[in-house]
Amino acid sequence: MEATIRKFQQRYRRVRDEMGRWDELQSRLLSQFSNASSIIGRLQVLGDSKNYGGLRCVPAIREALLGKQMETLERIFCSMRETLKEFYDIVRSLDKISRDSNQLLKGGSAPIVQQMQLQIGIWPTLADCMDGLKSISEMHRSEYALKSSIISALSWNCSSSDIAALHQLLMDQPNISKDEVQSIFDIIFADEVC
Amino acid sequence: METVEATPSYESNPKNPNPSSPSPSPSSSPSTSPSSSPSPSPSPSPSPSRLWRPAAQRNLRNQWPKLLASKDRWISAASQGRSHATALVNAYLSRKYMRDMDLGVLKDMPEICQKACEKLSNKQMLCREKLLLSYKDMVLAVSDLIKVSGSMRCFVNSSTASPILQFSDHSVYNNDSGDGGGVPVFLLFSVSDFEKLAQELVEMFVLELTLKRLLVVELLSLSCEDGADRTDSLEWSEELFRGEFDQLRATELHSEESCQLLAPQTKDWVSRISVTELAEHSINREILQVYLTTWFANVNLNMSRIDEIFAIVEEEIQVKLL
Repeated sequence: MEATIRKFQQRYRRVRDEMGRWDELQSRLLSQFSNASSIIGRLQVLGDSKNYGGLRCVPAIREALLGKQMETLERIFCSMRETLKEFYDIVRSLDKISRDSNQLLKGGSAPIVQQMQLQIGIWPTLADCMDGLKSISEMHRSEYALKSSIISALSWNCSSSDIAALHQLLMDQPNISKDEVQSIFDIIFADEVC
Repeated sequence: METVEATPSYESNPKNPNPSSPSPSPSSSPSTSPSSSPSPSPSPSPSPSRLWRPAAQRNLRNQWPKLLASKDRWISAASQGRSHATALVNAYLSRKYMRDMDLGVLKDMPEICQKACEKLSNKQMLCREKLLLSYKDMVLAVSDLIKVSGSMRCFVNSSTASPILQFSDHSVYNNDSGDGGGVPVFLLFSVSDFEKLAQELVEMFVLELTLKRLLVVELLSLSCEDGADRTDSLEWSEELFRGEFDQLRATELHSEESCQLLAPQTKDWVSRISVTELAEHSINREILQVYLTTWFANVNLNMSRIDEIFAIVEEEIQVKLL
């Protein structure tokens, strides 16, 4: 029993590493998003030839400038898609950790319900261990789905209020409840906390 | 009597010259060809043209890193210029909107607005100087770029016994074009191929410099005083720093005959309009935003093409450009 829980704790450490990577990706995605949105916000100003002041004597400057900005925007979109791919790698890895944990239990005979619920001292139950991995994995999977739909919703003709809303949503990560994740870790590592 | 008729015995003369005797075949006689390739004679001084290739290779391997360094210098000057320009615009706008600003509890402090404006004004002056320095750096970088791009050829000094090679943009001997007769210097590219690539770089940077100059003129024209939008002190045709036009002449941005500056333009769109004086216009936040965007967008520079050019050359000369 104790050995199995130790193994689970190892799995949870890997989960923690993956979540650390997730946070790095999150801050990268946010900065890419704000670069893109500041370009999108400028496009309207750049599109109006009366905003060119002294540059109006330069032929085709408006077209050249807009073209260049669109190029940069396209590049940012590409790198955001790259970042999303890396998010997906994490989702898959969390999913795998959760699925593989079944084998920890199947090592001996399949535990019956009482064994699953059995709590010894401050140790978590096997059910806690299983459910925690599963719910962390599910949170990230749905958050990934949300992120990819946010990124595909972002385009050059978004209004600034749309962009602000998308940015907020991207930042909040509503599917990942920090508190819930923390309480799962508190239960699993209860012996270390004391 | 039996006359023995003498049979006409003719003795066959084997030596009878047969007219149809096969004549010696004319083809069999090998034409005596003069030995065209002289054996490598151990001449005391090797021929200058044989020295040309290694010298030309050495020259190109020297020049291209310089081009790369000039490009890097330009890019870093432009990015510094960008931050100075941004700071300048921010100082200008903050001062301009100072009167409408809600200062909250600070508004009771005596002369708070005036003092803040003075400070911002000073900051703007400081940014102007820094911006000008960045611009100057960009001009120098472009003029270096042009100088180096004109030094790709390698001339052979064939008149003297000891062949001394000179690298320059012109030959002292009229019959030497300095490109070794157009042969490949390394693998594929002739000197003129290298020159074409360098020229492509030069054209991009020259065009971008004209545009940057216009922006510098515009930004330096922003008034540091209250009231007017712009000072009337700066004109397009004025020298922005001492010696600017000398440098620009080297870049052909400033023509000596007409005493006029090349008009700012975008690539693929060569203008025939000359900007002698800037059109009057007001200044607002949007216009300044467009200026700053134009500054850092480097409209006339195709960065991926620039990288590609250096990568092509790197592969051809088989030296890592640093």
